Amino acid sequence: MLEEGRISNRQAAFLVITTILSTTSIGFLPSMIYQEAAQDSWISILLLTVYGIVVGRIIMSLGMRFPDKTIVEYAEIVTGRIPGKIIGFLYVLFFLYLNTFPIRFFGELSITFFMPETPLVFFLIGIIFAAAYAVRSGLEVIARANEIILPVSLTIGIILAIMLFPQMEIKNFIPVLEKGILPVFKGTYVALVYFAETIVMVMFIPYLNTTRRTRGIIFKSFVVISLCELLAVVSTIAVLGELAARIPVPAIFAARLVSLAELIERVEPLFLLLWVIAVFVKVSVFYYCFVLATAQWLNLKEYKALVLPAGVLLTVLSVVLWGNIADLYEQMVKLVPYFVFVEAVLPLVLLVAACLRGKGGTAGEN
Amino acid sequence: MARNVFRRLLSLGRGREKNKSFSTCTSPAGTVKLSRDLAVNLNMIRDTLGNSMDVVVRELLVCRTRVALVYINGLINETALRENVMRALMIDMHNVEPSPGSGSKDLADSVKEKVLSIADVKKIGDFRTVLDGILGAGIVLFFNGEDTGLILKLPGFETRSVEEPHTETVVRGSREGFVEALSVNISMLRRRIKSPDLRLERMQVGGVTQTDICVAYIKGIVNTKLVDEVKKRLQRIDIDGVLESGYLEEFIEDAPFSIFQTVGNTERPDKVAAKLLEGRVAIFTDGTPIVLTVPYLYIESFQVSEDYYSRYIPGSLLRMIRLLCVIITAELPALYVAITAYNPEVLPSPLLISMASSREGVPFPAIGEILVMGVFFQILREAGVRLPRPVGLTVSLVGALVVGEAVVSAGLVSAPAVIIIALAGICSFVVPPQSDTNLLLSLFFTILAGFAGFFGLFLGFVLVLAHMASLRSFGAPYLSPAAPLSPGDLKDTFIRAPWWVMTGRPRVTGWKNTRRAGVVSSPSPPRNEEKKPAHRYKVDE
Amino acid sequence: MKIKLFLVFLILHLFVTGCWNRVELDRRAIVAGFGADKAEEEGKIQVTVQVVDAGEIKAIPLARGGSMMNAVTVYTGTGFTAFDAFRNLSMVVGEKLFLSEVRVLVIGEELAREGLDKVIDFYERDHEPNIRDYLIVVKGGEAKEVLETELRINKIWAYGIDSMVKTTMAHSKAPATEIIDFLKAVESKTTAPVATVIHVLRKGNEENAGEGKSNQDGTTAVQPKELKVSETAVFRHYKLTGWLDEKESRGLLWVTGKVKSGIIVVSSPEKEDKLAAIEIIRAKSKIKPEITDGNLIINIDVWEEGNLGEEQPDTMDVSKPIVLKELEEQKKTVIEDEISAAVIKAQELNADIFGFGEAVRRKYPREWKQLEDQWDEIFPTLEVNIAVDAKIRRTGKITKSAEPKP
Repeated sequence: MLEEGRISNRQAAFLVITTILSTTSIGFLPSMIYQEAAQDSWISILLLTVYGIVVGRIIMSLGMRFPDKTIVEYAEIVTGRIPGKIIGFLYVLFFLYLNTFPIRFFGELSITFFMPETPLVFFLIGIIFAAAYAVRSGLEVIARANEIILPVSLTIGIILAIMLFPQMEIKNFIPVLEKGILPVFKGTYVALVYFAETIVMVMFIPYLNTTRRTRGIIFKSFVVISLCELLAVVSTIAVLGELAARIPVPAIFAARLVSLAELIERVEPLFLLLWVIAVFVKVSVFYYCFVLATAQWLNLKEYKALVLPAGVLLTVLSVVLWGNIADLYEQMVKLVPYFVFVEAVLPLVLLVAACLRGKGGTAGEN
Repeated sequence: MARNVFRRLLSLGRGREKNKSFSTCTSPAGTVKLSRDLAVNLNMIRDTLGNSMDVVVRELLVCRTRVALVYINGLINETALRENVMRALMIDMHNVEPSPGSGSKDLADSVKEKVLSIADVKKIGDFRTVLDGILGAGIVLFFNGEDTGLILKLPGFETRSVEEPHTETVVRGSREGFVEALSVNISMLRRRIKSPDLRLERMQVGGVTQTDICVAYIKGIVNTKLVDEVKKRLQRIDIDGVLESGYLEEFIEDAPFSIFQTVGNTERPDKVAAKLLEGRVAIFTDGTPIVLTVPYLYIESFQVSEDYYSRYIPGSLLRMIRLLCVIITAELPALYVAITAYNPEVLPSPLLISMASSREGVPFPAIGEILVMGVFFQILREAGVRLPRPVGLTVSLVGALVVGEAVVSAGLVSAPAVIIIALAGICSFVVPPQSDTNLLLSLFFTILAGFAGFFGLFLGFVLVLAHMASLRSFGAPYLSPAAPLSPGDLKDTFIRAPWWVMTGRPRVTGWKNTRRAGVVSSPSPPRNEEKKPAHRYKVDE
Repeated sequence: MKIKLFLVFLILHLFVTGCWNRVELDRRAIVAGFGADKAEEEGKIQVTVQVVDAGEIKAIPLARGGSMMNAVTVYTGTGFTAFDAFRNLSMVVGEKLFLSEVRVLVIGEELAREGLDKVIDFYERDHEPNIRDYLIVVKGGEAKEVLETELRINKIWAYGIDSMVKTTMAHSKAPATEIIDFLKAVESKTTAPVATVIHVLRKGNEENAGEGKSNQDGTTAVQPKELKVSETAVFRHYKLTGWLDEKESRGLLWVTGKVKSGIIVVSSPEKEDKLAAIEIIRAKSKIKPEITDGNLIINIDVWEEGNLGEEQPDTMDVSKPIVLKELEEQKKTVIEDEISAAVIKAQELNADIFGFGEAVRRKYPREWKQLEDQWDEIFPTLEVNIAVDAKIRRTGKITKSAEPKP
């Protein structure tokens, strides 16, 4: 085994929650959803939750057929050597590429809101260095750090929402479904990628310390995700109304509006804290998946040697892939089908294939 | 990678002697048997111990046999020697019937059984034990014509009396603190835990110093693997001398390169008892009042014994205050730097303007101010600690008031910076086990904040958090019970739940025997006359 | 190993050469008030900033003498856009201007008529300014003039303006508009934005006032100039189109539910020439659009609660419920009057300052799709029903005023 650490079901659920929430609730997603679904974004969130649970079930069912293998390993068993290698490579690429979005976005956001004159690469190296340290220390360490980070981030998020409460206006949500249901679906579409990030579980399943009650991971984490997401989206819309569509990161914009008793103002560093710690977990998780998948794909005995090159690769890619922030947004929408294919369709195909060809056990399904 | 470089540097010093261990003495000793000839034995002693001025050899005649007493002056109880040994041998001996020396028994046996009114007497035959006995506060009796001697344990050296520990004073709770003598310390522990399951295993470390150490644990509560691991690590220690438990700590800790301590220490017997009851292992070292406890978790530094003795509500409040203080110590200076140099908008305007006005004309950047004042504060503290108390007070007074005031009024440092450093400094004393760690963290964060503002500061948090998450102390995750999360054990972290709620031992150390208290509901005045049978808590097994 | 060392050096390099954004607090020029005017040169913008002299703040004790009123310095500069003009100011100031502590954005009338889009975008886009600052339009004047006016209430004059705007809640004769409110109204297709209005009052003889800061002795009790916050500026999209006077302003606030406090003067029920003043304690409002037979009607429900604060001595006995009833009726008429004045003015200006359109959109989303595009034609002739429910709860410490016994 490449990884000796074991994580509990709770730790796995926590990782999934932070991974998904870090970009969706406090990141760019509320704005992207709002641009399409306007005041009905919350319906999109509910739809997305259903989607997330369905995809999560597929991924877990697939993974639990091979409870001691990752997708890179069992893809070969299910489809044969060459197609399996190709699928494995697809996932290696996927984990690398998807990670560049939050990294780059993190840099862009920090620059825009906090330090406009600082070069991008400074932020990227900072966050990747921290993630690399965690990845080198292993899955257990990421999971444990996240056990501190997630409650802290949720607390900060809730505090921010409470502080914004005086400025919320319920009328921003009316009328419901003003332009029909189509915009809601459109809003759902742009976020499909992020709600299927449970895909990281395909790399974690072999390292769970129990094979029992794994179904709960998906369900419980999506309950939390859904609630937090609603809190984020609802409070942003309630505070900003139609402004939300023009603002790439409505949550941080809303945070700037906090003004309590002329004493607590401009709390956005709190937001930066939230953003740094949450993105750190997300980046670490994908970084780890990438490194582990690569090591397995190449049949290496150790993944630690890959950490450094992977970090350099991530940094370089995050810088060169997009020229400016407009590029980044465009790509995010354009690439949705491809990502959804890797995250949801491919696991489904593998699951069906595994069932038909009778590969893997059904053990662990409760 | 830095760690590897460091390791390499360290290994340079070790050189070629790696395989050579420090054995006891360079002299004949070994497993040499005692001779029947008294003179030979005494010569051996003289050869081994040299002409040390404190070695006393007293020869006398007992029932026509030459007998020699060897002991080290000052280590033994002189009164007892006079009354129970010398007197017995020289006077009482003659009243013993049948007269010693006759019959089949050795003189040594007769003396041991009939003459010496001392509890701890052992027969010995080899020279190694003789030496250990003499050096370990014993009197050795040699009998001419016999190849066995007697060793009389009569420790009587000067020890400090039991006092209130200086490092961990409490308002409510035991006033006893450990002293330097191992036996006294162990007795204090034994007095608190009257269970037959309390195990005290003696070991010796230090090739030259032959320091006694004692591994204490409660059988049935402790995880036996943990005990084995502790003993294994202790046995691995190969050093000439152990003068303080700190030597052991550095040899057995899990993360020698970390700034976080992963071995706990205390000089309070009640605290050791509490740790043992949680399933931990304590290591006593002769010659120091500081006892080590393992495994050591981060949260333990917030747990003060008084929390458990005073009422739980103020106890919980104090826990949170301690946490706040740690945050202030480690992060306030960095926050100051990040705010003033990068993101001043977070301050309310009036505060910001008044800070700006006090910074007017200060020659250093914020980070310079903080570092200079921080170093200054540490110098003051160090000077105050090492000096005799009255002088120390003067130093702190002069330093704090005169220099601090002068520095501000001269415009070298702004007043807020002085306030920040003073506040952080005071807060660092609230959680003593962490004060050094927090100092380093504070420096680390301040430098990061100086280079990259809030981003640097938060990145520092993440790095430190990841580092702490990677630490383990004797198998226990350092951040437990927060990470890995063990919800039941959060009762004794940020708050201190009432005792009748904390019915289970902390899982991470006490999972072998989880039940600690029986009552689940809160205490209440009796509703009816009938009384519940009293519970008895005993360690099973 | 080499690559590791390389990485270490790379990171060190980054950290050592870091500090791009570091500006020490004493190197920042803290701006307290930001003003924008149309420059004399065609197509240019004139920006006025009020910079806090941090050093002056320190010399608080009045005993030491010195100028107690001058904790700020005002700089003015021009440029092609607001940002350009603002940056050009640095040439004069010599320190990095720091916009986060600005509390008021003052706009000269001329620029407001041309359009606020020339300022607002910079204000919203840049990372320093706060869009919760107050937006203030100078009626019949320039922002420069406002920011140059000495105020007694705060050594930092712009903060004085800020507290003047905050105090509008005591009289409710001007809205306290934050930039974000303005932006939200702009975002809406139909709602017309409003802004707080500030007046420059020139006291004493005109010559003296014209000289501005000439009388530096600081001993005169009467300031050469004073500021006054009242009335409302009405915009259509970004452009200023008209004003609401004090009465209409309060009418607007009644409808939007932003009346916090204020005095309503009514005539005594028994004697026409005697007056009574009623203090507003709290008020609520609701805009209820209604479509019946294709006709759009707007119903405005206002609920108000107040205490009798003053009456001019007469025979009125306010301990009698009947008298209070009459007072309530009077008050109701006054409020209705204020609201209808505001509505009429808004319809004259064809500016939906109340958000009637939004209310219709929320209640009748389907019908709204047709109405939306013709709103400009519909609004001026819209039928508006005003229903006021005014209460008097308490009458103060006394019942009757002192009066000579017959």
